[in-house]
Amino acid sequence: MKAHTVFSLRNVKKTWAAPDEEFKLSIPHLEIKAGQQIAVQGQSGCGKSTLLDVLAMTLEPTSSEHFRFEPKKGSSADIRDAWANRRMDQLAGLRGRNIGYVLQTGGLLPFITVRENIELPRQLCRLPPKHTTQLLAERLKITDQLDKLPSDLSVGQRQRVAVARALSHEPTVVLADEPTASLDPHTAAEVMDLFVELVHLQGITLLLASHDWVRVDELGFTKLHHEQIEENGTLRSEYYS
Amino acid sequence: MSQSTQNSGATPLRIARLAARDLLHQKMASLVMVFGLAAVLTPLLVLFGLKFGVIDNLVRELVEDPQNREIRLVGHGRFDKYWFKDMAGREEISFVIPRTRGAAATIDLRSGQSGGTKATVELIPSAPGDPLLEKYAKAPVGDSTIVLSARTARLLEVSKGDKVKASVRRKRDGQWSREHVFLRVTGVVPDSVFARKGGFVSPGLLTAIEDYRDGYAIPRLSWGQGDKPFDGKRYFSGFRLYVRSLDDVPVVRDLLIGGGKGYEVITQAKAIEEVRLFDRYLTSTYLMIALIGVAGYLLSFGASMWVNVERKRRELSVLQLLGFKSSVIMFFPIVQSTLIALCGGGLAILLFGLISMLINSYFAQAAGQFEGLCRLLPIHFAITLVATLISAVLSAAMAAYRATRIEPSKGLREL
Repeated sequence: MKAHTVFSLRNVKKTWAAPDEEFKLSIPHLEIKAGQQIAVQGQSGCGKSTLLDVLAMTLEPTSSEHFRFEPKKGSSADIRDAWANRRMDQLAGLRGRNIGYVLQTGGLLPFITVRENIELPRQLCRLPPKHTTQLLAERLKITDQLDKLPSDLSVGQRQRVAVARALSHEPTVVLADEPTASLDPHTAAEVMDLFVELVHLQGITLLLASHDWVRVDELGFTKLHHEQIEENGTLRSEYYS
Repeated sequence: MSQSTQNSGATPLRIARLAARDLLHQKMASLVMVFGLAAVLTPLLVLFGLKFGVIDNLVRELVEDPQNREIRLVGHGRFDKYWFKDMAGREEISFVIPRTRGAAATIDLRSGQSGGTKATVELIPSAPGDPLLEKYAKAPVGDSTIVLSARTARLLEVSKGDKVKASVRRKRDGQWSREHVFLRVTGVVPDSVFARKGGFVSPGLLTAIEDYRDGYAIPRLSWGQGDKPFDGKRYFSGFRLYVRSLDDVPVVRDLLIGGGKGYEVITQAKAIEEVRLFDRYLTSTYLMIALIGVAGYLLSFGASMWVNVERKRRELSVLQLLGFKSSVIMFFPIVQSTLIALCGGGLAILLFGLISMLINSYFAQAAGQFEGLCRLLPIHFAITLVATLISAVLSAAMAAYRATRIEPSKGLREL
């Protein structure tokens, strides 16, 4: 069976102004198949996070010709149309059900326990409790932390919790924005290995922003083509498959 | 909507629970908001309580004092029973009763059978509906009951339920004779109602006393045996008359002054006008202070709720990222504001209760007959809470609307 296309984008652009320069993220052509593991590379500040935010539907593109999201075969949604018509609730629904997002840091709700943080996406999707939280916690070695508040955890432990939360509702796509950047090398490697292993196990489509080329190569990720072009004082960052 | 976009678990109830958890988590910040609300609201409540308790009560007592609704006759007149019937039938008049001649309405009262203290008192005609008595005692009926003024009761050392002996003297052909009747004290009215030595009795008894003094016999009391009973046409020299409301005073006054008879009457119209003016000035002064206070209160509370939403931008963005719809996320700050409004409003009402108790007990003596110098009715508390809730929900909803309109990634990354 041939894998279907999860993300399909054509000429999607996002422009944003920095104090002295204008940046432009440009995606001339991007197709991501179900189950692919993609590495998004580039210097910091070149638009990796912006690309992931656009794909996570948390950031509206400045312009787009074609933007479709098909989390499961046969359930294609027109994201360009949804943004154009301000159907925020549809976007929230698509995001909540199908996407797990691991931010560079934090993103956990500080006022509920680790366990509740992990279970929240699952509850939103009305999935049966099962033992998902326990299994994820065991794999990520945070079983002892489940009933603590995020503020009682180390940064490394919090990133493990963020990984668990991104996976708990069995999403079809996981986006991770340098999830280990704020960890020491040893912990970073450990968390990354666990993360990739879990993604493999669940057959999830993964987009990982990273500047650790070596590690990404070792893990056998498909790299997204990336070019940085400077024209008339505007820095254009292009990503395409 | 296709199955892949369903996330019906993102319910307002779940958001409400998260909002409450957040408030509990940030105990200090929540307490500051609750105390901040109570700190502004409590003085307002006390101010309003004082206005309602002192001014309104005072003015109402003054305005509703039956003595201010009385119209008194100057000198004597001649009024027959038809006149009284006509007056009693008028809509403006709440109570009217015949008065006998002043000289005839004075008698001696003694406590007990004999040998007790003696007091010479003025008798006032009374009947059911008498506005002077209604709060304190049942009106006297027949020839065997009397309501005493406090001063008389003190003098005779009697109280409700005791018996007093009333003696009437008359002089005929140079000879003094005396008759008496036993009266049961059915009540005592305070000095504020009647300060002199006095007793309220039925008009029948008063007429009997007047007749006896005039030389007639009163067979039903076995007074003046041997004389004839009175059987002519009876005229009364005066009346006790109360109108229904203060607005009726001038109407009835004009009626009595006019009509060819030209009676002279005394009313409290001028005093009433002064009290009303005083009330108007005080009310408008209070209203200005209250308006400024209430506006300041609602604005400061609204602003603090707005700031609370701004502080929650990142959490709200996380909720958006997890797939909560904007319309549901709105409940997060709204629930928080509502809880703070309820706690703060409740605390303010509690503090008001304590402070008003202190004020009322401190001024207990001065307050005298008034129920409380500082008090509010349940409806006032209800209005307070509703206004606070409306302000809370509106400001939180506006701030939340603004906060959830932005793309989630901005709220997540800008902090």
